[in-house]
Formats: sequence, C-alpha cells, structure tokens
Amino acid sequence: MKSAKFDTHDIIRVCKNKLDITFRDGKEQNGWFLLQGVKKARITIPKGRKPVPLNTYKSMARQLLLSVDEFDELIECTVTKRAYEQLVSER
Amino acid sequence: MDYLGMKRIESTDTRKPLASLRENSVPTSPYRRLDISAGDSTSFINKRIANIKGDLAKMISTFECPQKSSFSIVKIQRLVSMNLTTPLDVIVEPDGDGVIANAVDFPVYGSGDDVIDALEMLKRDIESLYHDLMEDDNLASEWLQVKQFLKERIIAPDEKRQV
Repeated sequence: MKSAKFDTHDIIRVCKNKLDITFRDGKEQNGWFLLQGVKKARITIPKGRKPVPLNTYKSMARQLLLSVDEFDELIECTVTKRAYEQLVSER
Repeated sequence: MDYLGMKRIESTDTRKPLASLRENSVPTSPYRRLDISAGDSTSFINKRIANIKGDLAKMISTFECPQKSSFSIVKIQRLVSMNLTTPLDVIVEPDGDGVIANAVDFPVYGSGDDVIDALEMLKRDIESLYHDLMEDDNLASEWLQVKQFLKERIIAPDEKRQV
C-alpha cells in the first residue's frame, strides 16, 4: 500500500487525466467515472493538498471498485484507462 | 530458646525454608516455580516481581488502549438538511491523526479531525450523492439499487413540506 506516497492532488490528477472524471466543486470534490456513458463509480476527495491516510486511501479504492493494490497501480500509472475499464466492467 | 519459648533462628537458618521450598515444590505455573539458590533469593524475588509488574503493565495497556485497531458502528439519525425514515449504519474508525466514517450500505465516506467532523462530511456527501442519483437514471445497476435504497430512507425537504 502506497498511500503515504500520494497526496490528494496526485489522486485528483490521475482521476482527471486518466479516467476523465470531472469533479464538481463543493466542500468535497465528487466525480463520476462513466463506463460506456453510464455512471459506474463515484469518488470523493477531500479538498486541499494533504497526505491521504491509510483508511481514506482504502475508501477511495473501494469507491473506484478497486483493491488497494490495483488502486496503487492506477495512481502509479501502470494501469491504463482501458485496463481499468476492463477491471470494473466485471464488477 | 528465647524468652517466649521459641527457638531462636540463626541468620544462616533463614535460608532453609526457601531452599526446602525449592526442593519440594511442584511448579504449576511460571510464577509459582521458585528456582532459588540460597545466595541470591532476594534479588531473584525482586527480579520476578519486576517481571510480573511488566507483564501486568502489558495486559493493562492492552485493555486500556484498544483504539489503534478499534472501530465502532454508529447510527446516524438525520442528514444535514434532510431527515431519514430509519437510521443509517456507519463504521467509525481512526485514520492517521483523524477519523474516518464509512457508510455500511454504499461506498461513501467522510473524514475529519474528529468523529463529529467525519460524520458531518459523510452526511454532506450522502446528500450530495442523493442529489446526483435523483438527476437521472443513467446509472449502473448497483447505483440504481442505492438510489432505490436512499429514496426509501431519505425524506427530502419538499416531501416533508407536503406531509
């Protein structure tokens, strides 16, 4: 688990750039991942640049329908959008 | 014999009871086995007492400080601006220097410096999710189920006014 390596901005950057998630501004930032145009996963990221504690990291992974290891790989860019789509389409 | 009629015990005799205890005792637990040599009985006993104190301190700390791995399930009775027909279950647990609150029935969480902050964020996010889900039905099947679940649980403000 690599939660200590990443902060909220790293996760937002990957969600925006790789998964094309558009975040809506509010007290928290929420965004939907669309799989073939259908809302499939919804992630919440607290505002501000800060390190992500372990359980928050797990919850974000759960929101994206991923295990923690898969979430690590997604943030580290070893999982492509296509690979992510294949993973979540089965879940 | 001294003046009370008791046999006077010489200083060398004081070691006899301990030595005989060692010979006759049957150890039934680590603390009852007194493996004492005649020369260092006092330091041995002091050492054993120190060990027992250490073990007790560990046991007490286990009972007093379970928060590292502990979690609790709480029920939230209402959201920020909406009421609930029945409470929602939430798991609250420590998270780094703060606290995280995870909804049990759907993947939404709130985090904060303390339990109140975490629950407030969670309540706001459940309301936000409710509004998202009510926009349309362009949702994966699991979210349609969550939508149905929340429709049954949440009393939206306009519904409340109608009642």
